[in-house]
Amino acid sequence: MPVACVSIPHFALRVAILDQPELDGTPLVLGAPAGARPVVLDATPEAAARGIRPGLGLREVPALCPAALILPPHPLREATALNAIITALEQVSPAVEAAPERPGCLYVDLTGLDRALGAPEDAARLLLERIAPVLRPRLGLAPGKFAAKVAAGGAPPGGYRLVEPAAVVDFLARAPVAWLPFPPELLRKLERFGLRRLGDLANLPVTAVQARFGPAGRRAWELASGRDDATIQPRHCSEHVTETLVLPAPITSREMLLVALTRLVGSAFARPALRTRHVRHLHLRAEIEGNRSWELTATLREPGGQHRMITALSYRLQAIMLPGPIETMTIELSGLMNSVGRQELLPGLRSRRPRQLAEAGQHLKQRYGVSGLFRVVEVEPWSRIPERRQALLVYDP
Amino acid sequence: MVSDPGAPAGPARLRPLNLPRPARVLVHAASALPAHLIEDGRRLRIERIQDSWDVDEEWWRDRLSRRYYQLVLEDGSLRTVYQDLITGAWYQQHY
Repeated sequence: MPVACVSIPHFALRVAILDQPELDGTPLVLGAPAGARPVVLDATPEAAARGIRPGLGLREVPALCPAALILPPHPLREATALNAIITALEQVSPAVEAAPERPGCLYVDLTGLDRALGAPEDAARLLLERIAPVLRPRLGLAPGKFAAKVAAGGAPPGGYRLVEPAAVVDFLARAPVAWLPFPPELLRKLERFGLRRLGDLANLPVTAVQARFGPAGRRAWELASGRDDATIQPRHCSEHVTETLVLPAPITSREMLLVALTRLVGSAFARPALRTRHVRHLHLRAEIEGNRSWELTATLREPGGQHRMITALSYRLQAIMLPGPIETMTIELSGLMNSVGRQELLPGLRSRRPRQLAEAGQHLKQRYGVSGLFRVVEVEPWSRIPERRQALLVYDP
Repeated sequence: MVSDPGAPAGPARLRPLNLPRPARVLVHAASALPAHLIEDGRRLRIERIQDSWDVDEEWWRDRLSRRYYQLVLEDGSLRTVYQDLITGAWYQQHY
């Protein structure tokens, strides 16, 4: 059983219950973030039983279910919970991948761990023990990622489902095509052709499927036939520095925010890990009054030190609207590298002989028809693509 | 840089600068990270990867996705290479 899939349906709402266990059993609805269209993003089974579905307008929720509680998204809380789960699962196997397209879906590579973990049932129990039961995790064990995901979908909350290698094809044949990890348009096309189960797809010749649906169709056929060679991509553990600042009073103005950020960045760069080093990426998270959060991620075109970081942050903060009073700020700096000195050209060293250069260019032009001289001009100096920044322009004196 | 002579500019008078040059890079089988750089027929061992970063741009037209590596070679010299994550090809380019 080389792959385990841990699935936590309604991840954002289950994480909210993790913080407030008394909410368990209450119909919960995940609302859209401030500024976005006010629709339901997710709903617990208790809310779904009253007809609340993703995409429904938030104003309709109280009419359908007066007891429903609408919670705003809390990306900071969700990211912290996900990191804690990954760290816990990494105690069992070092290769843990969080599926980017589906929050709360994680793959664990168990290849070569049979002797350490024992029977597949023991491995499944060991993995489930690492996750808080209130999150209601479901676990699937199968030879490939896709089969493991389908198995997890069929497991009971807090339980697991095993799929033996010999039974993968039969197991997948009964699953609906909606399980395939493809855009809804392709899935709808498959269903319009009467292919409702994965077995219907697997029974077709691969050449016919590829001819009709292209490379995605071929991949779908391979998955439906139990041919899944996708590998698990563990998270990249890069060196980073994290600094947190708890504010004595909530910040509401941009000026105060900048003062606090300057202090936060200063504290981070005072750490020994950042001495004589520059930073390329920054991730700023803020906890906002009313149990909300906000985050900003930025990548600098060139790595920079403390002052460059503050300038970059202040520039970005000018364009944003603060969603509320900020109580706590956390900055995570990554992409660390050794600081590199930059020597600008001193004014005294600039070319003092433009006239001689122009004369030389004219002589060359008279003799060969072209001067053969170029000057460097800036085209898109801000571009992250090096060949776009500068170009050579014919120097025609 | 020299002063502007005032001559009219145009696309035909512009030449690209710092274009990526194809590079031959051998990677570790397990980690897929650069291990050796072949330069002028010589196989140079990569002592360490000093920095790496991704450039993902222009997804709205011709998508561009590169992973850059700043390499320290066995002789102490520095090279910047990148892998085109769409085609898998390697290139050398100053950053």
